[in-house]
Amino acid sequence: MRIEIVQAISVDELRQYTFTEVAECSGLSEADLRVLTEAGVFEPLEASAQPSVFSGTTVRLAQTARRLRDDFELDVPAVAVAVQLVSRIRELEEQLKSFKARMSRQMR
Amino acid sequence: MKYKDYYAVLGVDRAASADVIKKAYRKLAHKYHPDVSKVDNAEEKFKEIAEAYETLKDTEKRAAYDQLGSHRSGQEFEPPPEWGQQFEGFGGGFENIDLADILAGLHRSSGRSQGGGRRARGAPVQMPGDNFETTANITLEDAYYGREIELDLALPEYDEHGMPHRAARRFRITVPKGAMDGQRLRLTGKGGPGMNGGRNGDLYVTLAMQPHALFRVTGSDLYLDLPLAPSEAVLGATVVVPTIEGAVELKIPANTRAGHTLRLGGKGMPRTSGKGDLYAQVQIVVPKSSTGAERDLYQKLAEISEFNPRAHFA
Repeated sequence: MRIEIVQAISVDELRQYTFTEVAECSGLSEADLRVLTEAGVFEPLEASAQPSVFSGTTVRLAQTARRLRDDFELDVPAVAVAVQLVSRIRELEEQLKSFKARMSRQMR
Repeated sequence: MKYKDYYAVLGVDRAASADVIKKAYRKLAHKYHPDVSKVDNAEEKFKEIAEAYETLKDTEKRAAYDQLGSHRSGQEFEPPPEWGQQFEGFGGGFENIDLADILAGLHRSSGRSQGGGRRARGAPVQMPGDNFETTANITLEDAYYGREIELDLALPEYDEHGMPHRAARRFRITVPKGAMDGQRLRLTGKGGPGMNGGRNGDLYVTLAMQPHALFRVTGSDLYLDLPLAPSEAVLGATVVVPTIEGAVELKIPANTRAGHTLRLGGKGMPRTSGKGDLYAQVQIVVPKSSTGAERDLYQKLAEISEFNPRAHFA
């Protein structure tokens, strides 16, 4: 089988994404993205900078938003709430993972 | 073509109403959606459920699906000869075609855009390809050294007639040095094909780091349990400690207590500049059994030592 050698780009904090790029990567329309950004669900890296740029975490959240919208047939306000909850869960899971890594295996 | 029993997947009767199907889907979606579920294999299970609902919620697709009759799930079967005619560009063969892909093609061949919007008659709508997601298991060493890994996937492609087929594809990608568990990589243009000049979708790969036998990872730091014998902890010692790049010697100060953490600077995971650290967490371990001579020495120690680890109980 032919092997395709591909340049993989890391969706991470080191890259910055324009509004259009976030929409393109996530599948959300720019209109929905604008509503969710104005609602505070997605935060640009610098509040006053124009044009706005976003982090890789925002791209990931936007992809989650699109999946939740499509899979649960949610309207935009419901998506906003769901994404904020998912974001908080992920943050807590990271903290828990970090805490467990610092604990000796024998103590768990 | 393999048969998939979508009614069984959703747990509904073949005569179920649209409302019953919707309720069944919502219940299962809440249970298995990968963004909210902790069930093992939730993602795989959800793909099945979403695929079943995608077909059964659409009147046209459901009718086309029902025309196939009822078969055992997973059974290879041949649809009725005229069944394929409703799909534009149908070339007459059902080999290597996934049932979901051909039913998804029903909307494309009827000319409706996925967004449901109107378009001028005869004007082709540019549609971007779907983004796909997959998970790749990597080891700690893959992330440390930035190794190449290969991904084998079956992705939908369209033949010259516009009919969808699943094609096996193999990608070779480089894991970024210092990659973390859950990190996502984007393979631009390697997702679903665009339609009518639309751009191809992307393939997103989430890296799932397998647990390591010795090291635990948090950020770019590593943690390691360091067992010490009581004599080593009290008297101090030089012990051999593993790191990813090989063993190093670590000096244990005298009177090192359990729970104490010793830092090995720069022995963690690579990061943007430099490396994280390795933390060795001390445990005092006693042997499962002792020789007579060892027991005598411990007895003498117990008699002369004034150390009381439970002084704070009083």
